[in-house]
Amino acid sequence: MKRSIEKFVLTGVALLAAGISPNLFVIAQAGYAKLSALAINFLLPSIVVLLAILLVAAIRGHTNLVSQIWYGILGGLLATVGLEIVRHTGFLLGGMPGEMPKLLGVLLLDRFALGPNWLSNLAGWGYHFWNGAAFGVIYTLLFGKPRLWGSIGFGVLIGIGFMISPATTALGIGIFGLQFNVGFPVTVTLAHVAFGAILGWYVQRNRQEAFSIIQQIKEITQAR
Amino acid sequence: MKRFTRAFTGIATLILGIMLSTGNLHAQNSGLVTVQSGKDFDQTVESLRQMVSKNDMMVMSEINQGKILSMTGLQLNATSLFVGNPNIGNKLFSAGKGVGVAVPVRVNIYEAKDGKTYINYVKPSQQLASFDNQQISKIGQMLDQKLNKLTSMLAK
Repeated sequence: MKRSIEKFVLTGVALLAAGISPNLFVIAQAGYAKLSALAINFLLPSIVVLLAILLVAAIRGHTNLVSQIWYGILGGLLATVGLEIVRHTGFLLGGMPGEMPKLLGVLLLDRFALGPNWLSNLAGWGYHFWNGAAFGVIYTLLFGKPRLWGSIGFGVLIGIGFMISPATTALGIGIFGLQFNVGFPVTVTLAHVAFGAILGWYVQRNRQEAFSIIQQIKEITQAR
Repeated sequence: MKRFTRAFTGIATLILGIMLSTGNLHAQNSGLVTVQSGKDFDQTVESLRQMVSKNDMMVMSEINQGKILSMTGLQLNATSLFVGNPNIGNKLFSAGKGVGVAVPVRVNIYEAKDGKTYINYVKPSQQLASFDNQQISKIGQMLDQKLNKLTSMLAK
């Protein structure tokens, strides 16, 4: 019982920490704060917290939780490679208004006026991939190891969230990017289908049992 | 006397025509001044920075439009320098708090489709004219002269 609660708390904190990163760009684009300031005050601490949760979970013997987070991170990183292949192809075909990772980089390093350089590109790509890892962790902690269609649905939901958020509208292309062209929603959706498919496939390779958050709650309530 | 007047008018027209046809300096009614640089884009940006410094001003900020737009896939050479100095700023803002709309002065350097590099700016006096303040106007004219001097040194 005590261990179940402990695991549940660790899962909750890990979910909160993973949820910070993807929201920062949206908050910045909504005009509430600069991404550079948000990165220092929230992004870096959230990464530290997530890694600390991994460490604590390992020390406390929550091997399932450790493997879930780990598979989430690696699966998210791998899935972002797939997303990037589709997104970049879409960009080259005129379906995207710009190079999102480069934009993230200049905003992160507060050098929009000077444009991208290798360091800002590195920061932008790093942030982009970390967002993928964060979504991977969120996916595996929320849902465990569902079937592939579940992860594809998760990916599509992320894509829709992106297209209706200030992250897209602040680019001046409207909701779903329809003021740019129809290639935008097509590219974003396909990229996130690829993300979801690869994430789902990878997470299923985890041989350990993976519990969804609902299963954890059930476990605690049944033990009472 | 008539002959002299005709000859003078003819020469004046000729000089004006030559000045306009060279294309080195255009100042339209909008106050936009465009100068063709004798150097390539990078050299022009570098030289302008140095000349700004030599003329008791500083580059307070810079927008690399070319690099920014490279994120959209567009390739071009264009940079805007925001030029001024704290002393002029102090005088201007003391005379009118709203002058920030016109200063620091924006000087734009760009490579046109013909491959030539141009420097353009809107005359500060024109931008500051709407403040209807003699001191501001005076500083605006002084800035005009400074910019004219700067860009003339780079003109082809």
